[in-house]
Amino acid sequence: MECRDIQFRISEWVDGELKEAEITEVERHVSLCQSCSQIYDDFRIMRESSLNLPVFEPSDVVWSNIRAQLAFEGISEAKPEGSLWGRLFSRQFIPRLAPAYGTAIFLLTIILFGSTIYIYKTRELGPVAMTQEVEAIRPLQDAEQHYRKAIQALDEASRQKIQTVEPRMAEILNDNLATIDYYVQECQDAAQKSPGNPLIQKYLLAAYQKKAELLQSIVNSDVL
Amino acid sequence: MTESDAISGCIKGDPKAFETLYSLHKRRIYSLCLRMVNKPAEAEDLAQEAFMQLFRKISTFRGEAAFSTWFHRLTVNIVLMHLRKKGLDEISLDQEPGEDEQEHPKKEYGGEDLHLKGSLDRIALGNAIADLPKGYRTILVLHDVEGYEHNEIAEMIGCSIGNSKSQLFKARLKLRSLLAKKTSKPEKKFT
Repeated sequence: MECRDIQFRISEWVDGELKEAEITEVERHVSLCQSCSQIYDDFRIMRESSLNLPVFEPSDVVWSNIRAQLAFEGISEAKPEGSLWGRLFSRQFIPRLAPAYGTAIFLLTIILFGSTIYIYKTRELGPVAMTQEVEAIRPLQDAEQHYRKAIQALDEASRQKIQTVEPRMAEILNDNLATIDYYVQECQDAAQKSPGNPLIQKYLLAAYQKKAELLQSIVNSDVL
Repeated sequence: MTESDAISGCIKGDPKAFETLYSLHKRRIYSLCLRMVNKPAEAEDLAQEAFMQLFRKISTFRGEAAFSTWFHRLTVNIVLMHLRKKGLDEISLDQEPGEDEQEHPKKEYGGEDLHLKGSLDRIALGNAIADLPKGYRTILVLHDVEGYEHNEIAEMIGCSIGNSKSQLFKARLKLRSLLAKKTSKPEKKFT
């Protein structure tokens, strides 16, 4: 058997894939051929060393993006079964919008929708320069400021409402608010670590929107 | 929090559980992606996608295989799909790179005295793997680094088992050549 054939067998031998008879044949050749003997030694060293290669650390941006995306997709929501949270977001339970709050949410949604479309259109144009990304994120940041103000107003009203309900119900509502505050914080942290990232900003706005919806539902619910 | 607790927590949507699983697996998953695509930014995007797929699909994990095995397989599929979208030539194992004929004379693949001696520096090996052509790098990472068998690789990539073995052999010869070229004298020991 020529060296070329033997060397292919050596590769299989190193992986433990040869039968006894084949091993004997290859061993005999290797013992007589310096070149093939060297290949055997090198393949064995490479194979063993490949099992202990260094590992690398991803940058913090990866986890920031994951956190924001988890919150946005609503994957990491530890909602207990049959909770008020679930019922509040069921279609039959969401009350009619009070005119003032409804208008505010409607306007903010338009801003968010327009900003998202603007972001996607700028992305479709191809690679976006840093200054263009900063420009693209401004409408989202403006929307964030509007959401914060709306939430501040709703927050006060919802706290007053919660104080009027029975303790167990108040505890559930406060737990749900704490959960959504956690996700808002996650998104804020991610936005802080990746400023100018329109994707994370979008997730942050979505988190604000969820909070505003929940607060609005608490304020307007007749069943608490 | 143990990995088992973290898995249960993720299924329930516990944010801390997600963070625990990420901390436990981020280096290996990112390193796998990096070795296969050889571009840090691209590898980070793929690692992010792998973790998002994990969190979306974790409820489907039945425990028949080890969790890390299941997750790594999921990651490999994501990377391979990404490479396919970039172009079939990225992971084609059927081509015969012309440069091979120059590297290895037909009669004797050993050629000149290119043998390595003694121990092999892990960093040098990692750098040499990064310098391999894409097809060779894919097969070598999957087999030698990640430990997949040829029948698994053949299924993942869509080639025959014989093809997988053949390409691995060529990848090893190429890697050996790259490692030997990093030293000025063929007899020099790697440290």
